[in-house]
Amino acid sequence: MAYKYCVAECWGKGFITHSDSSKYQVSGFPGNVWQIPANNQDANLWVNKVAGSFKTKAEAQAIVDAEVATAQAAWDALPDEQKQQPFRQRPTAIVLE
Amino acid sequence: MTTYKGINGFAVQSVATDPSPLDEGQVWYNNATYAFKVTTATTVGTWATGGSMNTSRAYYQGTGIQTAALGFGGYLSTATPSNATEKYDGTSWTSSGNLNTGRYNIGAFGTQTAAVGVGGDTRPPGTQFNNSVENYNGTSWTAGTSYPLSLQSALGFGTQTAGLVAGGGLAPPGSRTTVTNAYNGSSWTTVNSMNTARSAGGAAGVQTSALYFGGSAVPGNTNATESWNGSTWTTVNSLNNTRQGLGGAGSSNVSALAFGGVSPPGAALSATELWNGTSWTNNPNGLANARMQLGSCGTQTAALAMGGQPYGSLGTATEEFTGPGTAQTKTITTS
Repeated sequence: MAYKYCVAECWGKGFITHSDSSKYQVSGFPGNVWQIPANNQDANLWVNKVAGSFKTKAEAQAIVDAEVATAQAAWDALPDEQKQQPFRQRPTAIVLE
Repeated sequence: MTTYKGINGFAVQSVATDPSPLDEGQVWYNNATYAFKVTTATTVGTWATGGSMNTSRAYYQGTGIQTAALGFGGYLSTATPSNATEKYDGTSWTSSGNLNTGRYNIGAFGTQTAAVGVGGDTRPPGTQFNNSVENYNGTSWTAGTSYPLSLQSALGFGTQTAGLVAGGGLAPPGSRTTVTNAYNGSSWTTVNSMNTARSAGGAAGVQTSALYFGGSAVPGNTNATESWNGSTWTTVNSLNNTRQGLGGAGSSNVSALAFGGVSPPGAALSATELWNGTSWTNNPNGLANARMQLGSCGTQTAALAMGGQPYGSLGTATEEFTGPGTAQTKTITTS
């Protein structure tokens, strides 16, 4: 499936509604990056509703990479004892589809 | 010719506001918006964003229902355990009385006004998992009878006076337990154990009818599901997605919802599955914010996902699930 990307700040309740989700999947990524299906009129209208700013895939990927790099640096700075705590894992890179 | 009046006994009504509650199959004309409308039932479950939490955190649990939920404890971005408690009213979160002992990977069961927190990890400070229990009365937490084991990431089911706690992680080197204990509000009674030792799974149900699904086992994560009938655990059909640190909701061993989680070294999941008493079905709509180690509560038809860890940073995002079969209004058009 082809996707489009935008950046929008989630304000909480009402940002994505059940009506939105019944028509298409919105997927969030670090840096307030949101993925929607391409060529979907309802999804395009959602981007307008949330005052989103469309990004190319490369632009969106760069935003995500920067956020993940920051999280990885924070993890790397943790004491070894905390890194070894159960379930703790270093943030993994995210590749947008 | 068959008519609406002939089927229903009355004509299509003209109203200024849409009727409430909705009744599937009902047709009306909204004379304020000049639209014919009909009530249909949804065929898939959907997630919608809810009000954001005040405190970013992960590795914790929630209790209650979608419109009256409680989230407490957890792990903060400062790499310390949290004692914060927050209440959700279906729209927004407000702070309430703190846990006496900040901790993450706490076991939890109950409601928004009568909850129980069990065990967890207090490091730092502290050295190991603990067995302390706290009871919440809607305002504040008080110490309860200690749990028979010191553990973390146990799962809780039921109410403050009729609860159940199963599994959990024991002190390093990382073993898991199958032990199950019932709680009557003041004391613990050991009952039959689970079949698969594990922690950090998903939970649904009450003391007499519960479901434990997924989780962290040895040597790896599991998709195993076990059904509790009030006296014994039985292994039933597995989740489609192997995962731990997932969210769970549901009222019994025949109605449950699984969402989020992770199967390291993979990224956090958004996948949502519904349990009908026999098997798990993938729901087409997943969480908008894939996440692991999240708080969760509610039922299969009205669940809540709160906080958690999307990719490394901790989140405040809340999402509300409405299950399939829910009445919805559709405007009738010519297309």
